[in-house]
Amino acid sequence: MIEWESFVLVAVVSLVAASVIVTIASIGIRLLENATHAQKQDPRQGKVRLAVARTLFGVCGVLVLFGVYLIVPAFH
Amino acid sequence: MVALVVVLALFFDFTNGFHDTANAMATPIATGALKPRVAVSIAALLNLVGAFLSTEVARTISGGLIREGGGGIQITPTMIFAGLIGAIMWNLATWLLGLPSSSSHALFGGLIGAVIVGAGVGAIDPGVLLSKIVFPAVLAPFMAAGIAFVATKIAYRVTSGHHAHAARQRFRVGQVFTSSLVSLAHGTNDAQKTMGVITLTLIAGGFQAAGTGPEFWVIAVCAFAIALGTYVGGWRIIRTVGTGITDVSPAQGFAAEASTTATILASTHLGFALSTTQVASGSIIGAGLGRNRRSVRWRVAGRIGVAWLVTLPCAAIMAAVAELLARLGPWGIAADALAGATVIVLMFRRARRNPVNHTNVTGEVPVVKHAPSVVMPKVPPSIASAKPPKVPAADSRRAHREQA
Repeated sequence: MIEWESFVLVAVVSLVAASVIVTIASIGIRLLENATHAQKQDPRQGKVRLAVARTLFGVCGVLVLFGVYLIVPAFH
Repeated sequence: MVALVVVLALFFDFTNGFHDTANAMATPIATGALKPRVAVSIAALLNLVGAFLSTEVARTISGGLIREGGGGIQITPTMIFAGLIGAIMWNLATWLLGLPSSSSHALFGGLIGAVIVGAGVGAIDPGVLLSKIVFPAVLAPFMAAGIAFVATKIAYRVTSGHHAHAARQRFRVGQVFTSSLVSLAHGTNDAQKTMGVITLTLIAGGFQAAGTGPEFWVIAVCAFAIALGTYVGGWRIIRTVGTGITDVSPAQGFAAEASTTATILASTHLGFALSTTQVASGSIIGAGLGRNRRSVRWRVAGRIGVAWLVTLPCAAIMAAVAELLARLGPWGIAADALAGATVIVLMFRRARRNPVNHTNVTGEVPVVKHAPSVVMPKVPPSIASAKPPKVPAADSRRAHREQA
């Protein structure tokens, strides 16, 4: 009666999706925070960290847009 | 009769809106990521937009639960009327207690109760009731809690280090996006339910051809009703979800909302419908567990759980009584409407005794002397009496002081 298959599918997909986005955002945030402190000692290293952090936030932005795409039925 | 049902349906839509603001906005308000007023405005706007975006008629309303058409039972406007009364009563009662119960369950419960009285138990498909509503309702919070638990662990592990506290405050920015997505998803789902009810009524009343979608004016008024409800904001429920279950830090809030968003999007697209309310509350419990097991106030969580269990039967019972009255004829319907209006006014007056609004929504949950007992003696007294346990993590304490 209960559709275990689709339940497990939803659970696994949600777990992976949530973990991935939280991981990316957390790494980005850690790098950003480090970058602001590192800038004083080693400006170049700070810059690299900042660039990586921004890229990661960009990936998050793409994931958010994908979420919007999934929500709006007109897109698919 | 049809006009009366339309008005009631819109009122239900309104209560749906303010009941569910908490799902998306409770944690960003609690962590200070968004100012309360700003948060409800964003939620209202996204609900409005969301309601227009979706063109599919929400078939969830009937969805096979009530056997209809072709040899089955014809649902009448009177039954929808009684069902809506039950659903609205329950939504307002749980709002008064600050409990985040599912508006969809209230609506289904109301319709089920009215149909059982109006057409007999045979009109309900128990298989569909179990597989589409009861099981998902039991599983959703555990699943969401598990996912949010993992997400919170990740967020804390990755950001641990020298500047952990400052770094974690940055999660607030992320919260704005995740909570906005939840709002948008809510708009595309929940306004649809009322559109479905109104359209069903119009068809049943012979004002619209069977098999057609909702008229534009129906979409428009439903969209505005849910947006208005969202804007008015169910501050009581926001307080319970945001600060009652556990003290949410920005990292937890982000993890919880990312889990809620992921779970809801996955469930909508992979065909295992879950209640937004239950997923959102479950995520917050999971986020609390992920940081510190003792930070979860189990009394509050338990009370919410009880509310979930009784939502469907309670709405059904109230709708059944309303349907019994309505069957007496026009006077019965008038008595229903009058009784309904009286209870609504009483509940709003009761709510004014200890108002919760954007000014005190993030505060400590105070002790309420007059535990409301208007409609439902079954549910234990309001959340207010729960004692917040000591939270060892200084992290959230500091966040709290900053807001104050």
